[in-house]
Amino acid sequence: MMDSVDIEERLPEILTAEADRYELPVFSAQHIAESAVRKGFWRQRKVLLLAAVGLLGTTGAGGAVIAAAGHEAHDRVTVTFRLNETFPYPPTAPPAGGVQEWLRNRVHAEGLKDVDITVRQDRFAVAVKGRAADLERLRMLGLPGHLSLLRVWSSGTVPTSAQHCTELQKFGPALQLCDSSGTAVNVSGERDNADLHVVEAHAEQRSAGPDGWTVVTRLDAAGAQSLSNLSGQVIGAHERMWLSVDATVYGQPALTDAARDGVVEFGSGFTKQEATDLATILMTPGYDALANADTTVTVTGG
Amino acid sequence: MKRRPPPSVEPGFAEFVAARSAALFRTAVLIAGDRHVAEDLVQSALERAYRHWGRVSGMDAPEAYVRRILANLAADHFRTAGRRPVELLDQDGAAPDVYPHVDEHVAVISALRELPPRMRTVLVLRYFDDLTETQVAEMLGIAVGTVKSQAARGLAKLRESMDRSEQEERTA
Repeated sequence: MMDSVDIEERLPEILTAEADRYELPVFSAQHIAESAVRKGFWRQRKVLLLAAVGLLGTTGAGGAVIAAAGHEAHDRVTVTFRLNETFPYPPTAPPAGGVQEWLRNRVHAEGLKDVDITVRQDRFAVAVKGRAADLERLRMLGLPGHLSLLRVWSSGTVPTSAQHCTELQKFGPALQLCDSSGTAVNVSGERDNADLHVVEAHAEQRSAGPDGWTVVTRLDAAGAQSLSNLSGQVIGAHERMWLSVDATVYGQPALTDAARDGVVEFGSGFTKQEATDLATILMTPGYDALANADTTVTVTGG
Repeated sequence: MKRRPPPSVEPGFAEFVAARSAALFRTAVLIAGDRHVAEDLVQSALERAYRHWGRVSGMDAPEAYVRRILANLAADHFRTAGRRPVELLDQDGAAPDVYPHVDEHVAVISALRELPPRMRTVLVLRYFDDLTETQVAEMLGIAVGTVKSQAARGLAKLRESMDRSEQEERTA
């Protein structure tokens, strides 16, 4: 039996022998990467859903509380992004101009109005104040532009009447998002929808006049396959597949011959500025320090 | 919401997983005492690292960062699961024991399992991963003095347990 004096010397050997008892598992980098992206995606989707229905909830690695229950259309909300403890510090610097300038450009591209941005320099913390109706989009400012293909109920089916986007509600598995005119549309449950990765996006003029612009996107191989699979599905008479960018629904994708190669157009009635802004959003890489920060939402009266 | 990334894995990540996942698992299984929990901890730690891989891969010691995540996840796990000591030699598919001093081994590992999770983590990082007290402190986000005191108390408890075991053996 060892005496008490040499346990410090023997402990490494004992621990090694104990570790040797376990057969080593095989970890797949591919599966880990896919799982990481999937969980990150659904974590953010959960945030969006909670924000949209105005519930109390938690999010992020640190479990920050969303305190935006029952806000009114005229309310102002402040979204505060704080670096969580597992993120490497200091965060990567955003592109030239700093985080404030980066956010201003993103806010402009998103078309958000009445937004105030405050950056605290002592430790990474950024407060973005804006309209309550824009809450979910304010929360996603740090994320890469996001294009998804959604199953949408056409107007007049369950749930019934279209509502203004400040009155979003959840109907069982359904979720309402805004379209570009500010009207709610009814989106099916998350599992039916596809997240698409955009390789390239740009604005193109399709017809004469100020509203003749469209957004042309090129998807990667997986995105092209998802588009092909989902758009080919037989869906109900009152359902359609629409595209959304950052939680705003823009309409049905226009599938041309090039769709086989992952090229898809949407929103044929854009102005040049609108189409350019959308393409810019889809091409933005996001800012990882904001995308992975814990967020807190506070509501103030209008 | 994030865009779906390309189907290919970030450069360098596959090599990192291939080279270091086994070592991470061995640390995790000593801290957790259960292969299934250990696998989950390593999987989760690697997933978190992957989300920041662009930065993590540029660090001087990416593995140290992943180990830090692993240690934090283990602490979270024990906070959630409570402090019930894990069972020794449970039926988890471990290979046959080839260590010659079986009684000694069982006594030390049993005592280790009964330590508070943080204390156990300090001992594993210090005496299995061979990290310095400063490195352990940085990894766990605690003071060097705390590492010293935790390690000293942990070793003292192991010694007490060993003494008890030896007494029982003599009286048997």
